[in-house]
Amino acid sequence: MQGVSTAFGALLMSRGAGGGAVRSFALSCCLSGADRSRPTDALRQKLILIGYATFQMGERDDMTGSYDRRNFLKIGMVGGSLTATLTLAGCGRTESAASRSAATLTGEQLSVFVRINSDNSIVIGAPTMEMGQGTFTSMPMMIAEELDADWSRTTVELMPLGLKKLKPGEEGSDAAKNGYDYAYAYQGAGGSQSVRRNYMTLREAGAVVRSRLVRAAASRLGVPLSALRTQDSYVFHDAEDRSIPYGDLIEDAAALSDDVAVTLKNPADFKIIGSSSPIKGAREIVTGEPVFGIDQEIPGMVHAVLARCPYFEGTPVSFDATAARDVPGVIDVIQIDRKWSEPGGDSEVMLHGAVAVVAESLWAAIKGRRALTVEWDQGEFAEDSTESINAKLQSMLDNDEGGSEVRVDGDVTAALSAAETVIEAEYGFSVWTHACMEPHSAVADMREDRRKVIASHQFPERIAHCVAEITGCDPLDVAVETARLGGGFGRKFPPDYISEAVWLSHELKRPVKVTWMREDDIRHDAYNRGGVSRLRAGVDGEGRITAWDHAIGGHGFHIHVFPAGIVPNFRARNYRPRNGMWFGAWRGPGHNTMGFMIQSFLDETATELGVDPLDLRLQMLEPAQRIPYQGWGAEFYDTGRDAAVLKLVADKADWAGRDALPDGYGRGIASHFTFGSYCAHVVDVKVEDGALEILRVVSAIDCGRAVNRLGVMAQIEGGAMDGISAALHQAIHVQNGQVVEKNFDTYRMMRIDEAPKDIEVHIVESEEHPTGTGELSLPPVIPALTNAIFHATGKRIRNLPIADQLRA
Amino acid sequence: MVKFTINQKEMSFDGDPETPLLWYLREEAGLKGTKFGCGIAQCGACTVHFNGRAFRSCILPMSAVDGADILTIEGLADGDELHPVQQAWIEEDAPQCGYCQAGQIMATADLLSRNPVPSDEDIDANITNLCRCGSYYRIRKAIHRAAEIKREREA
Ligand code: FES
Ligand code: FES
Repeated sequence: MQGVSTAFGALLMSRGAGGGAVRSFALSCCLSGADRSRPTDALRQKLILIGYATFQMGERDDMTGSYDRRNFLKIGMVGGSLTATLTLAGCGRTESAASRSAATLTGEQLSVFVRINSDNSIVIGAPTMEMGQGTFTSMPMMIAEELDADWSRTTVELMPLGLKKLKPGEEGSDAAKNGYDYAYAYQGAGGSQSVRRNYMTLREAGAVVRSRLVRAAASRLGVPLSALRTQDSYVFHDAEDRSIPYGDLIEDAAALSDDVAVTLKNPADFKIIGSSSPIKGAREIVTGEPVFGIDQEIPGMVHAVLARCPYFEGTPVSFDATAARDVPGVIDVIQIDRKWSEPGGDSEVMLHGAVAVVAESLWAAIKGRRALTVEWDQGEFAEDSTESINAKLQSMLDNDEGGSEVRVDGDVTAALSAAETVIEAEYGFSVWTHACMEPHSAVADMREDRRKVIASHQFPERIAHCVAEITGCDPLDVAVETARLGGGFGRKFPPDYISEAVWLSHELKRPVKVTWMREDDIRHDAYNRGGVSRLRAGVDGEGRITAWDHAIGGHGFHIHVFPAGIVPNFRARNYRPRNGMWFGAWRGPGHNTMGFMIQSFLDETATELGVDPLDLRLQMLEPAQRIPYQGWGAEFYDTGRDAAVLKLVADKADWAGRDALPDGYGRGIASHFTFGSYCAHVVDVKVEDGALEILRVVSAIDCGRAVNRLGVMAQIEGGAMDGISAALHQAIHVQNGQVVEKNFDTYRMMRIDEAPKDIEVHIVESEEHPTGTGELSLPPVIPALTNAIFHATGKRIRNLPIADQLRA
Repeated sequence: MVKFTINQKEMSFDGDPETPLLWYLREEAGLKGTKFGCGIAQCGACTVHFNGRAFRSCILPMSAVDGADILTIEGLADGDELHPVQQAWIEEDAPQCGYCQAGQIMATADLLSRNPVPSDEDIDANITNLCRCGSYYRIRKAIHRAAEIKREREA
C-alpha cells in the first residue's frame, strides 16, 4: 500500500438554529491520490471528500483534545482504486490497532458521515445500525437535507464504531462505561433515541460539508456566496445559468478550511426532512444479500453450538461428550461456567452456564450438541413454576411485604377514604420472549493481532467492552463490525451471545462463530417482565379522580407515567421478588404493560362513572400542562400533546359513532407517552361466538417533527401489530425451574391471517424537536384492543394473553 | 452423491445426507439469502422453491433433494429485472428489519404462480410466515401490488 496522507482541518464554530448551543466541528478533508502533484484521470475520477465532524456529547469542546487530526485519514491504493479512509486512530484507537486495521480497510468502507464521489453520487454514514427501526434512512436524511444532496443518488453505509477515552472529569453519555464513550455520535440503538439524540449533529455535519462546496464554487466562479444556491447535489449560479455538480468541486473544497460560520436551514425550507422516503437498502433485502449478522464469516472460523443450562442460574457440573466427539467434523467440546454481571438481583448474564460443541461446520456442531449429555447444577430456582412465581407475587401484595414506595404525591390513604367512589381491579400479564426473527450469532477472532468481532448488536461499544473484559485488552483495540439486525427489540442489548464467541475464540485462539438455535433463544432470553398489579382509584362527588394507588408486583416498570403528576394523591409501590428468570428490555420496556394496566383501568373507571372513556381522559389532561417527567427518556410530559393525539385519533376513527355500532362490534381508545413521543390508537373489533376479529387500527402520533413520514408510519403499524400479537397469544411459562416453550409451535405469535387488514396512521404536524417512534405504538395498542373487546362484549380483559378468554 | 440444480445451476453433494437443505444452502453453497428462523417449519424464513413449489428448507434433508430443482431468493430476479414480488415489496416499502422477507417473498411468488389474483382470504390461508416486526399490513398490500405488476408485465 502506497499513499500520501494530507488532511486539512480547522475549528469551526457554528450556532445551531434555534438551539443556541454552540457545537464545535473539526472537518478534515483530503484529496485521495497516490501523488497529489500529478493529477491523473484516475485521480479526477476518484476524488473523495470526507467530511468529518466530531460530536461532543452535550457541551462544546475546544478541540484541544487528544486527537491528532492528521491521523484521521488514510490514503492509498486498494484494488487499483485510490481510496481515502478513516484510520481507527481517528476513532480514538491506539496506534497499534490503527495500523493493524488499516490493512483491512478498503476504499469501499465508509469512514464517516459523508463521502462524495466524482460521479456526484454520495455515500452517507448512519451512526446506528438498521434493525427495522428505519434509522438507516431517517438519519442520513438529516445530513442530506442540510447538504442539499440529491437523495435519489445517495446510498447509506454504517459508520464504524467511534469510541474515545473520556478525559478526567469529562461527562459521558448514558452509554459511557469504564471511562470510554462514543467519539462522534450516539451509536446505540435503543430507547427510541437515535433520531432524538442525533438530529442536530447530523444536520450540522451536512451543513459543514455544504459550506465548503459553496465556497469552493464561489471562488471558482468568482462570484459572492450570496449569488449561489444548492440543490440536488449541484451548486447553481442562476444569474448566469451555470451549475457545478458537487463531484467537480471536491478538490477545491478539500483545500478550504472551516473557520466560517455555518447556518442551519430554516425548517420551512426542508425538502427531505418531513418527506416520505422508502427504506434505503430495500433491493439488498429483496434479493437476499448477506447483510445480517448471522450471514457474516471470518475466514478460517469454526462453528460453535452450545447446550445452555435449562435451569435459571444453573451451570454445568459434568458432561459426557463421547457421542458428540464421534460426529464427523466435531473438533472440541468445552465447558463454559456461568458468569453474570452482579450475581443476584437484577443481574445481566455475561455467559450462560453451557457446554460448547465446536466443529468444522454448523451442521456438525448442531449434531454434536444433540449427542451431548450434560449434568446440570440446577441452581436455587429448580422448583420455580409460573404458579409459584405468581403466588409469591400475590402474597407480597397481600401482606404488603418487601415493597418500596417508588413515588408518593399527596396523601393517597386520606384521599381514598374521602372519595365518593373507589374503584379497584387487579391486572396480570404473562412473560414475553423477544423472538427476534434472526437468532443470535456472533463471530469473533481473538487472536492478539486481530481482536475482531462481527455481530448484530444494538450497542456496538458493548462488544468492545465485552472483549476487554474477557481478554484484558483496551476497548479501543477492538475492531467491532456491526451487521444489520434481524430485529432487536431490546434483546440485542445484552452481551451474552457476544461473550460466548469472544470467550471461545480467546480460549481456542482461532476465529469462532456461535449460532443460537431458536430453542436457545426462547429458553435463554432476557424476558419481558410478567407480573401482577393492583390498582385503586378514588373519585370525588364531581367525578374527578382524586386518588390513584398502584401496587405493582414485578420488575422494572416505568412508574412516572400518566396519571402521575396529574392526580393529586398518587402512590406507586413496587414489589420485586428474587427471581431466577432474567429480565431485560423488550420493545417499550417498562411501558408496554404499564400502558395496558393504566389505560384499561381508566376505561373501567369511566364505565363505573358512566362517562365516555375519551371524555374522562380529556378531563384529566386539560387544560394542558407541561409536567416535569421523572422517568427516563424525556424532560417533560405535555398533557396537551397527549390530549391532542387522542382528539385527532377520535376524530379520524369516528369515535362519536361508537354508540351506533351493531351488536358484537366494539371500539376502544387508549394513549401513552413513551420516551418523549405521544401515541393514541382507536381499535375496532368484532366478536362473534367468542371469535375475535380485529377490524381496524387508527393511530395518531406526535413525535415532534417527523423526519421520514413513511418510516414513522411503518413503526406505528409494526408496533401495533407487535402489541396485538403479544396481547393475543404470547406467553412464556415456567415449570421445574425451566422455560416450557421452546419454539414457535408453542410460543404462538400472530400471523397475517389475524393481523388487522386496515391500519391508518395520522401524524401530528409539529415544529418540536423530533423524538422516537420505534417503541411508542405498542404500549397503547393493547389497552385500545382490550377496551374495544369490552365495548363489544362487556368482558373486561384483565389478564394477558387474551388467548381463549372470549370463548369462555 | 446427490445431484440437483440450484437457481438453474447443476450441483452435487456427497456430505451427510441428513444435512438440511437450509444449512447446505447457507453454509456450503454460500447462498445466505435463505434464512434460519426456527428449524421446525414454523416460521417460513427458510422458504425456497422445491420443484416449483414453496417449501421450508429447514426440514428437507439433502437425501430428498436428489433430482430436484431448487430456486432461492438469489435466483428469483431475472438478471437485473426484479421479480414482480420483489418489485412490489420495494414499492410498498414492506421490509422493516427485512429478515423474514426473503421467505415471505418466496412464499408469495409461489402463491401468485398458482393464483394470479389472490383475495385477502387466499392470502390468509396461504401466507403463514412470521414477521416479528409486524410488517403484515404492508406485506398484504405488496402481495396485491405484485399480482398487479405481474398482470401488467404479462399484458
Ligand atoms: S427456519 Fe424453516 S420454517 Fe423456520
Ligand atoms: S421485517 Fe423484521 S421480521 Fe419481518
